[in-house]
Amino acid sequence: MALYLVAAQHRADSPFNLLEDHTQVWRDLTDFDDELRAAGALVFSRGLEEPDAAVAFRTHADGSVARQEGPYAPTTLAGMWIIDCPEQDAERWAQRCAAAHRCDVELRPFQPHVSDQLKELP
Amino acid sequence: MARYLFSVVHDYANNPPMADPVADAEMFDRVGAFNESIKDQILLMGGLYAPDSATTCSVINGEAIATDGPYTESKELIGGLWIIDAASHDEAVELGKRATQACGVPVEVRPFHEL
Repeated sequence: MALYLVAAQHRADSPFNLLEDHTQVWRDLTDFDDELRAAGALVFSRGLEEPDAAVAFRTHADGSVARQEGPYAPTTLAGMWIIDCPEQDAERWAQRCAAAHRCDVELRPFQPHVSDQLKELP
Repeated sequence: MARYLFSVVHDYANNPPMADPVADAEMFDRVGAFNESIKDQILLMGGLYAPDSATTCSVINGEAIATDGPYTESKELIGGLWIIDAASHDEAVELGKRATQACGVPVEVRPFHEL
């Protein structure tokens, strides 16, 4: 088993953003979470507030840190799943996520020591 | 209580992570101390493998197609994350500043939706 980040990316012309009614998307995503949960693969899933809600900290060579309102850089990240599954299943889950969410998703593995920090999530 | 994503931003082209064993050891000490100081608020934290380990899935005509590689070509990408519970936005921002000082690279603090 390994942990993966499944990051939902909402570019402007993604099918998700072209839909007027997202009712079916939310239904499909609820089903997707239920399937992950049933497979013992769901660690975390949550949508993010708009990028404008972010605060970023930039670092300078002298060690100082500067606060910046808004995201660090323009972003399409809209939400994420963290899943725990065998390597051979990860891409299939990511594809299921993309289809359910009607948007691009990026799948990326965590380094193994992450599980040392992992707590059971509510 | 609100839940926040702290994204650690790495410049993979000019300042890749894990390139300097001495600096990295110091960084891990600082991050370890930071984590210990707020351990009850950390739901999860971890580092990601480099962006070339990523797979991007796109929906084309209703079907999800997987391709190797990260979603964007940007040189600066998320390299790790914390998921943190904070009592207030101000506390989350203050913790984000401390996270930045601990890991020595930019950190972005962004709230998750409330359930």
